[in-house]
Amino acid sequence: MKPQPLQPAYILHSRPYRDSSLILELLTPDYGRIACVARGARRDKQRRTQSLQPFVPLLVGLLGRGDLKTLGSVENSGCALWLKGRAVYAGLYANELLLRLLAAGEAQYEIFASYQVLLQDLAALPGDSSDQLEAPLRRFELHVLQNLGSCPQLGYCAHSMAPVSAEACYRLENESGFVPVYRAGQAGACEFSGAELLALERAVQDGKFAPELLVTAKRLTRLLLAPLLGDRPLASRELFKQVYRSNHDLES
Amino acid sequence: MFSPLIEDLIRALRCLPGVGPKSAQRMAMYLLEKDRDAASALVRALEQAVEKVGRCSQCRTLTEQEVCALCNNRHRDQKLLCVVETPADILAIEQAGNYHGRYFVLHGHLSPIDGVGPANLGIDLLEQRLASEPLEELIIATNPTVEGEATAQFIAERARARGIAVSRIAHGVPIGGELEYIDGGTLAHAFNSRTAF
Repeated sequence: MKPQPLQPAYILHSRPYRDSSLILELLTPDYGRIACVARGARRDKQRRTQSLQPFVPLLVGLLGRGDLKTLGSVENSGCALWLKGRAVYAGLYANELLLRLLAAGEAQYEIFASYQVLLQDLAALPGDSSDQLEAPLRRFELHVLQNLGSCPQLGYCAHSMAPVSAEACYRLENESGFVPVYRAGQAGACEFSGAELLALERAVQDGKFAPELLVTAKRLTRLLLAPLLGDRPLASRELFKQVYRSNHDLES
Repeated sequence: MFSPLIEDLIRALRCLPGVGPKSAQRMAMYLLEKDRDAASALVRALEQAVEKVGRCSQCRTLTEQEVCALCNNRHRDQKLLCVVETPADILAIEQAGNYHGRYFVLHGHLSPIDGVGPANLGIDLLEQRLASEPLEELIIATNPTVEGEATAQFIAERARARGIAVSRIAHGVPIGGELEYIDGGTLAHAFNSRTAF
């Protein structure tokens, strides 16, 4: 068999396998999420486990034909990103999200690219406050949802087939997208103003979220993620909640 | 090939790490053929250990006492507490020999995807100790992995909220190592946390 060129990859998760091996879940551009066995990775502690860490950009050779590949050669590509402080929770959250959302073996060029952007954004943060994590995470979530086809076009009205108008109000409907709402009064949980949608569309492009827009973005991504995740909650989100809650307990 | 009892023994021995079918067979044959006394001693030791060894009520390390010898030792520095992932880490630090405080064993690290949360790591017990003991410094010696770092961050925030100084053991170039062969991440970390000379 002709040797395959090395693939860029990030490790999303690793778990022990047999006595001395690891099963790794990788994110690669060509195969998307893919599982592989790293034989002897836990025995050869000095050499391999050091580089087989999440958030480290790797070049990997994947061998074998089945769904579960075997890890061949591994090289570090570029500088390892070390997430500081609370940024590491955000990284773990992104990894769990990708594990839950991506089907194995489908090429994901765009998602791989936005994952890299996310890690760079997170690595640049000092990590002492959770608020800084919100904007990179919302942007990443929206990118992922758009690439999976689970997020309707943000600045586009599904009824008039035209861009949304800033003054109108729109309701998110599954399958169809944003449809106009004509009734006045209290906005429901699935309703967004045209101005919000246009601002979100811009923010996904340039990554700059105004503070009040972050709240809207969180509301939208929760709505869109809920049907994809089903009734099993994300464990890293639960962990994050515990971090918040106990800090409030201590302060109050 | 063997009688059922011997097969059972071989299968049972294979639960040990690093023991495959062939070594399990050699162990079983050795115990039955050459050293039955040792086999009986092994049975007794295993039975006693499994029945009696639990966790220390203060530091959660493995011990058959209510409070382990290290926690009971009044000559240890009461103002220092070192958080480690496994009892084997205590052994490693004790062999290094320059730490004289006490320990707390997590028995793992935070790993949300695998369902390991703060409750599994005895964080509530650690918090009780942080609240009730006259600690001056908490040294976090979890492994320098992503999960170890997440765990360290979690514990550090709790301790700082109580006004206890928190430190993290340094990661960097091993003694006798060569820079050329050290991975980029470790080297970058070693540079970022360099010390005045």
